[in-house]
Amino acid sequence: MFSRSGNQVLLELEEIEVELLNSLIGQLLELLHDPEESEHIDPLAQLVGLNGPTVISEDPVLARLFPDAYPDDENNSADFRRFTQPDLQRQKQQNAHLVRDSLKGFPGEHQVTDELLSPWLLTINDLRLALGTRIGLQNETEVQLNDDTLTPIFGIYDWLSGLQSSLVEVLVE
Amino acid sequence: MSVAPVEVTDSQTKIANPWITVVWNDPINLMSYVTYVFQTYFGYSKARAEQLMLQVHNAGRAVVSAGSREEMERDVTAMHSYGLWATMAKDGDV
Repeated sequence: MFSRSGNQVLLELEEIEVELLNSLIGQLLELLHDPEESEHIDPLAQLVGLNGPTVISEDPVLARLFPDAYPDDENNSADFRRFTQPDLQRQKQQNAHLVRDSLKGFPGEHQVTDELLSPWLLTINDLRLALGTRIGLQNETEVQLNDDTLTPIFGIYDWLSGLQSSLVEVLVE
Repeated sequence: MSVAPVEVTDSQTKIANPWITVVWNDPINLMSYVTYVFQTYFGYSKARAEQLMLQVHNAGRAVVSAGSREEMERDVTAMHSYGLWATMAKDGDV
């Protein structure tokens, strides 16, 4: 969890938590490189820098990370997506890489430098959005816990929620 | 010399700020995180940010900013980069 000591932000992680984050970030990066997306690339559009996809992903997680900007307006949503999604995707990848690199100093309790706070906050949020969407939280506020296969994912999701809460608390202090 | 206060009518505001950014409720983003984003990105006070967050939470959505189309595209993009579910519309269309 994150904590503050004077001007410093500290993060304490156990070995199993470092492994978990490494694995989740690896999965997130894989998802963000989705080869399905690259099939839509038009070589001419790529030359002039308009290489983003135009339709919302069929994958619910990608659809949640990159939602339509204009509800009920396909054309404007397509233009918006084409212009903004490549940058947004790159940003998410860069943040995830920065967090993964900073994990190399753990386990234990270490300082998180100011420039890494935002990448940490946003990457944890992307992981929560990805996991939460996968376990069906997006459509229901209360998900039945009868499904045993989902129980470990709920545990991880709750842990990420606690981690994010501790970081937000430190940031607003 | 005194200057009479100018009354800004609703329609004038709409002409000046014809587009809006709407943030929608989602059950995943933490309330404290959403408040933090409104404070950090828009520079809103804690009270204003909390009020907007609660409106999103309770009413299902809230208008978080208004302005030109370009400005709202920038705001929606920023909200998406924070992982908030945001859309834009012409004021009056929502």
